[in-house]
Amino acid sequence: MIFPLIRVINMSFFDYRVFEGGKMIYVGLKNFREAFADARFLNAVLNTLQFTIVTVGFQFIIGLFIALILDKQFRGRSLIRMAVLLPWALPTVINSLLFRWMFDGQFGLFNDILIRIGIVSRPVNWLASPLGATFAIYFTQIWKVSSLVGLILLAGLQSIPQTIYESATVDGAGELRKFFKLTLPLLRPAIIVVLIFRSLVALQVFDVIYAMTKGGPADATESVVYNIYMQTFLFTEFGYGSAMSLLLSVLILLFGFMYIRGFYRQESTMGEGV
Amino acid sequence: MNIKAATMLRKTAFVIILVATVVISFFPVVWMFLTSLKTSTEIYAFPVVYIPTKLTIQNYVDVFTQNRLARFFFNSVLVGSVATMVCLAVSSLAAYGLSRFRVRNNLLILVIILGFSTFPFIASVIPLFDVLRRLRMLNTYFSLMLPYIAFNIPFSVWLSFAYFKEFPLSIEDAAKIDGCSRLGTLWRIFYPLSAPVLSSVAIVTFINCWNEFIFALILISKPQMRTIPAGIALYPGEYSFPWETISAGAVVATLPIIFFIVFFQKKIISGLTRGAVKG
Repeated sequence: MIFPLIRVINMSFFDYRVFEGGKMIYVGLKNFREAFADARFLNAVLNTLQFTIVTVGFQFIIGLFIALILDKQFRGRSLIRMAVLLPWALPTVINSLLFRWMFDGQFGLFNDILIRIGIVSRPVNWLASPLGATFAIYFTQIWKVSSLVGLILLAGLQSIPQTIYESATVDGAGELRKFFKLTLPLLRPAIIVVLIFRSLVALQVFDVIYAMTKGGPADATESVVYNIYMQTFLFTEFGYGSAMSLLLSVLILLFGFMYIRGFYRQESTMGEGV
Repeated sequence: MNIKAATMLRKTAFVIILVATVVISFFPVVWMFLTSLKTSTEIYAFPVVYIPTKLTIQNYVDVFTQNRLARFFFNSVLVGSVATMVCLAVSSLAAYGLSRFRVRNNLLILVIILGFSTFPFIASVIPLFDVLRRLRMLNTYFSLMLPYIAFNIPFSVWLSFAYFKEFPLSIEDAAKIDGCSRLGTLWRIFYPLSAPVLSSVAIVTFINCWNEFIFALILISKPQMRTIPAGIALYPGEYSFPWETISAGAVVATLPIIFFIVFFQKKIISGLTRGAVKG
């Protein structure tokens, strides 16, 4: 794990085109300066930040909802468990291809349903417009991850002792009050870990974009990792790619640091509690 | 509204939400399955044909005879299972060491291990590609196993550690008195006792490997060496999308996943949630 880190830092200071003789020319910070001036890279950064905020936000809301629903005893839990696991367990590329097919402008299932219930009159060519493609990708990602977020929050909910709720009821607290004054604060550690971790993953989004739009139309859905992938492996700019991926790593490590601090705190308070 | 009606209403809403969750989760997979059984005429029809009128297994025949799906499947199984086993072996030893020997700052070491797991895939695939190319090791199973092992170790060390440290020291002392070596203790006592957590880790690791895409796309360019997600994602040509083969391939790629979530759902859930919420 350490080797690639050092190597990528090293490569980022060179002009390095692997397939054209493979000569490495030292260029100092040029790659980094280029990245900050590269309109396409900056566009990808904005797209990725927007993607992260929107999808993680929705995943959290839907996930919390799922967790609250599932935190009750009922029959058929095993079916529900499968339903909750399935989106997470499918290969991302495969489910993205599926959604691409369902969002298809000519033969897509979603268009057919929308026409049948009368929301649109003509088929919408989702993936051909920037807005439609962005929506389709967000939708797919939210579908995939919300239930996983739900599972993790559910585990958090179940670690809250029931007696707290009972005493709150005795004290005359209503359902809403219990939710905001008890559930949310007690769930905080789980919420923080899940939000940071999902952001870490969302900042690196690649599979969905590769399978659904390849960054198009007109770079509207291009993410940072997709941009780096293209620069490095299609245009063979290894030095430049390394520099950009290093910039991404710095951003991610920032989040990673927060994530780990959340973990560390839980672990150390656990130790004190016992 | 009286109390009875209110509870009725509540129950109905509850059931509706549950049913909706199940339907929303399952429909893409069901749709994929239906598509894979349709003839081309019915796949490319609008308005959409929901239930195929003529069932055909031609797509499956094609996908196995013309598109190397069997090979992709084999590659995925091989890479995934070897990576899972190595990962489990290495991480259980590491977790054992960290939990049993008096390692100074053992929590700090764990945190550093976890920190490395957040290092972006794209930033490690670039140097890895470069090195493997120089060693002429691109397009080998090893080239995929290496990153899969490396990226799954942190998580499984962390989980095993959390479990191992709960074991009382007296177990080991008893084993030592009975003449059991360190490794013998690990093998005869720790492994059997921690089977529940190790199997969770193994299943989650295997699913991660099965689904991984970015390394599989970049490090493998020979069609016969591809794993199943990369293989299927690369079916489409530049402008045409053969949904017949994609849907049939996708069903085959999903079968092991379905198998796991039907038979090991509780294990997977405990593996996924233990990492995020302690206690």
